[in-house]
Amino acid sequence: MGKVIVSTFISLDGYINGPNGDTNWFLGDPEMQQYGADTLAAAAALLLGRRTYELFLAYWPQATGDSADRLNRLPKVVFSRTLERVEWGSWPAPHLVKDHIPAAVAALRQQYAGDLVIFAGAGIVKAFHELDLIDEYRLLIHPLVLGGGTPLFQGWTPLKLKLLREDHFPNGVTILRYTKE
Amino acid sequence: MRKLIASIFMTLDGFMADTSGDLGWSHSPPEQEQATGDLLDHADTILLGRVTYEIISAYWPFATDDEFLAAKMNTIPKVVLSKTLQQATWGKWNNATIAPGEIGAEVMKLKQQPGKDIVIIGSSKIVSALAQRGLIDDFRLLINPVALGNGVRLFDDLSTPVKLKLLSSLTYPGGVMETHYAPA
Repeated sequence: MGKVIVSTFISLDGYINGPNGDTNWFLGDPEMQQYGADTLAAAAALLLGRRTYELFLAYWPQATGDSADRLNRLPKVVFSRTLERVEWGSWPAPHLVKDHIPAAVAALRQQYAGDLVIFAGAGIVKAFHELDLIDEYRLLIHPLVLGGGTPLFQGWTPLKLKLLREDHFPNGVTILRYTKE
Repeated sequence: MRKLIASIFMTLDGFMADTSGDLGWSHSPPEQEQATGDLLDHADTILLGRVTYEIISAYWPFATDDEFLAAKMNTIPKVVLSKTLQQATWGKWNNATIAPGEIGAEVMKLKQQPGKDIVIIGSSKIVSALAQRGLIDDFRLLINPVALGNGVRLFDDLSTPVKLKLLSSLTYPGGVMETHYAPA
């Protein structure tokens, strides 16, 4: 059974984007790239929200290198009510899910034994949470306080979690892995 | 110059209390209380905002001595940063004073005095204002394994983001993480 994992960059005060959608605070370093590569290596499929899909589509299908090949080869599912069709350059097109998220995720869990990794905005993550579909949260906590922006957990009912693991990177990013309590 | 340490319970989504001000979600395992005791042993001033002062001054002066932190909380002098508070009391210890001036100037004055560390407890508005001014040397954040979704934000009203660097981190039983950050 595949496990549904949310992996997201987040500020110390819980924002996934700055006040104007800013992402100029995102950090990277070789160790974090390794985390990204490991995440992709363990992934069986990627679950994307519309905006993340559009951002990724503008970059990854043309990108080269091991991680790009891995990401491009992985099966993808795009969750969007508004898109009519999805593509991935010269690679096989993602699957588009417009509705009935629980049935789609149940089918993915049956189909894949590896991780189902969500890269999406706050809206999709909240929808998954409310449907009780998330098994693990990986928060890449950046060493700064934004003071405003898009909060990941805005309006959620309180969620108790269990800390599974923490990893620290030389650039000050801490990855906290949590599962539902 | 004396070190200013902010010691704060928070959720992993950046809240320090729920919408009703409740802290029912927070864990304090004995190891963490011990660490807080050690922190206070190195301090001779506790800095508070008005709201946190009003909450904890109704508690600690009436706590019994067998409560682990009571003696330290009561004997260390308190300074309340408030322009509106008329009078500050602290039971029989009577060691709370009011600093009514501009917050940055009041804190600089305290930091320049000789002595041990200064510790801020809670006091989100004060923490935000001082973080913005770069006056907090060590953010001791006790990150609880819970997302509240709503509540009182620890950091609010910031005009620009505050960049930090991670100094250290440890995990307590129950999944609370103690992280220390300094200004970058």
